[in-house]
Amino acid sequence: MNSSFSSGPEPYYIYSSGDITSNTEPNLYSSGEATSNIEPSIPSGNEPEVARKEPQNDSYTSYSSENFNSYGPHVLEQEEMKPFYRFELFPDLKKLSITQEDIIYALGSFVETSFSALKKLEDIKLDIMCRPEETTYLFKGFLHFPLLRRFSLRIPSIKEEDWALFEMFMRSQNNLESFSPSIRCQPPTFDWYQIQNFHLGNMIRDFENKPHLKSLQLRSAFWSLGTISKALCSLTMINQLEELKLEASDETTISQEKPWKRLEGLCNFIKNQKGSLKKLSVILPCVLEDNVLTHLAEAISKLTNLQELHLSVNADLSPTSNTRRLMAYFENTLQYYPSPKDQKKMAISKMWNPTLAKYFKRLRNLEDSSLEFENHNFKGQKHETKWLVDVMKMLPSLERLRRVRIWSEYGSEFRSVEEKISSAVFELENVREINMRLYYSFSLAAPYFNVLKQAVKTVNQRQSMKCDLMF
Amino acid sequence: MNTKKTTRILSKQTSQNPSPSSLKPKFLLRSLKVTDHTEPIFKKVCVKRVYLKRILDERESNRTNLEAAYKPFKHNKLPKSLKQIKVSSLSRSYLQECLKYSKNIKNFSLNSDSPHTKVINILNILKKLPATVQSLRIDLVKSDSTAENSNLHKIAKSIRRLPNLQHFQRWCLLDQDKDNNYIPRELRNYSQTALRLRKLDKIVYSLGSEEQKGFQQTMRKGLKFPGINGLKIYLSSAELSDSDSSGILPFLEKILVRRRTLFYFTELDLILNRIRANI
Repeated sequence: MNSSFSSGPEPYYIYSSGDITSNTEPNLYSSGEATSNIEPSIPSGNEPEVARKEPQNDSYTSYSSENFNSYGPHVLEQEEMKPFYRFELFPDLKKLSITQEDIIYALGSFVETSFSALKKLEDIKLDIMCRPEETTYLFKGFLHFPLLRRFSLRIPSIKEEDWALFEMFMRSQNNLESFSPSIRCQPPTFDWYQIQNFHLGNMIRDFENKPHLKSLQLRSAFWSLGTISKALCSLTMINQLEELKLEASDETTISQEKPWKRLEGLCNFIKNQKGSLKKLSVILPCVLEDNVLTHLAEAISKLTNLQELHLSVNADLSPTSNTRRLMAYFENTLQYYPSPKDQKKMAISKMWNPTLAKYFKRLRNLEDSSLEFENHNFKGQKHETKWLVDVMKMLPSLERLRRVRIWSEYGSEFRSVEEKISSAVFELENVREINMRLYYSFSLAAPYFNVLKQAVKTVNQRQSMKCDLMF
Repeated sequence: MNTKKTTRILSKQTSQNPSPSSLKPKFLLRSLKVTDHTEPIFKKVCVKRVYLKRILDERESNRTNLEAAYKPFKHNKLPKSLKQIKVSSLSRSYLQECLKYSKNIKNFSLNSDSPHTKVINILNILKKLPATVQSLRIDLVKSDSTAENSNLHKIAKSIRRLPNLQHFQRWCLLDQDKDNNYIPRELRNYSQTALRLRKLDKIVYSLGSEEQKGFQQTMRKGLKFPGINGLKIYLSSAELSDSDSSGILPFLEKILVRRRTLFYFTELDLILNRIRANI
């Protein structure tokens, strides 16, 4: 098997403008120069090994961290950072949380040394908002951890060689109760995207060896829903998970499979957890076909013990900036260049009308529900509104429901059914709090749904006076 | 008047719509969550049959326009059954009443962003807490003088009189004050407290962003702090570079960090090195 994973540039380096002093956020969605010198190489086989490319003599690789070590600032930075990683001074440390805001100084081998001193560690949470240099040492340090109970990592991106280390770490952790990786930025190349999915799939398949796993949170808008779904399908764990949070993108344009087939594995996995799952959050930033959602709703309806449900669909598809973001995702990461004709297909169909009410009615133990959606109606099309009215009419039948949140920043088509939705809100006798906001458009200047707003306010006041609903 | 009206409305509602809870025991233990937007909820404390289990006051510290609503707490045994109190300010008038009557508090939490909250007041409240307290959390935003902040380490000592304490967490955000000389002493005290309290399972030291420099200096000394088993570190490049000195160096360092977001090498490193060499 020929596995040659290229080492591309780190995505956090890609900035939209050349203004080095500006405080602008990194534009990770622009193709830019960073990807131009990278030769694509497709991973093949099941070998997790990573073959590094020889450093190229270009502007990117000449500024590697190793070369830069000879310069003073790097050494000074490491001296600044070292004291924060002296965990040997806390010999009884069980819980560690590190939050790194902004672009911060480079890490070094001291990270690995300090992590190896944490012999009693059970719980670690790393929240890195901007990747510093030498983040590899974090992943090398993970390998020194004892058996953890909870692991949480939030990071803009993981380099391909770090993915291999991360997978190795995960394979060794068999006592995990909670596992929560989150990646915020899209991979800059298609290779990177494939490598990421390859390792992620391997890690999910290894959950089989984690009998204590109760909480699983896999969150990135740039992970392939199909890959995750297939990997989850291979798991045989039954009634084990209590909490599942999942965020992934449906490869709606490049996949040859039928929509329901793409997430069949996920649906089967959810059904297998019907006796244990209490909290479920599914975030699908890109679902252009309603039968995907209907298929998922049917699986969710089997969860008889479910108490909290959060469903966010197409929330990243608002017709302003996020459309560009979606296009950048298709063009840069998936390397799919839609023709003008295809671009028309990339809008949600007029008939987008998922069957949710019928299935969610079966969730008798639901206490907290949240629904977030966009209809991506930037062409001025009229969309189907019946599905939301049905959901609203169904909610009063859920006797244990105490909190409802429904949110859409672009729901102009629901204007015609505002009265119906408002009257359904008045029927909610069991809820403690309802938070319902439908906006006409993404623009803040656009008017609200005033009738609905008043109904929500009245119901919230009415319900707050019911002492039986106090918790 | 409002109280009576509320009770009447509620009794009407109950008679019209008999709910399953009407079949429950005579007295209901309920929790009260107060925010700036849920004023009517506060009136629930006046409802008959309801005793309080938890008070979660999440209003902003400087708003005290609802003080009149605390009347039910006065000379009343309403808070007798309290097990959890979360307050955003120590100046809440009901707090003293609650601590006076409730002898079975298990959780106490202070989340104050008021600049008027003094360490000395916290110490006084800690003295009044019953020995039953199992969980204690103090989140503090302060803008006081260094002299006042230097008393922070006394909190670590005063929690030693809570023999059943199982979980303690502190977080402190100091405004303007960057002299964190109290940190080594505070860490040492928490370490000693952890070793002394047998039931203490978790003691979490959560670092505010302004405390970075003090924590960094403490770690450089190389002192060990056994017993502390939870650490939350918040790192911000702005705090790290600004705290050294004012002038060109921190500014250039900031630019340097920004520069690394691009892929080309500039002469900025050399300039910075020269400046450092001269310093």
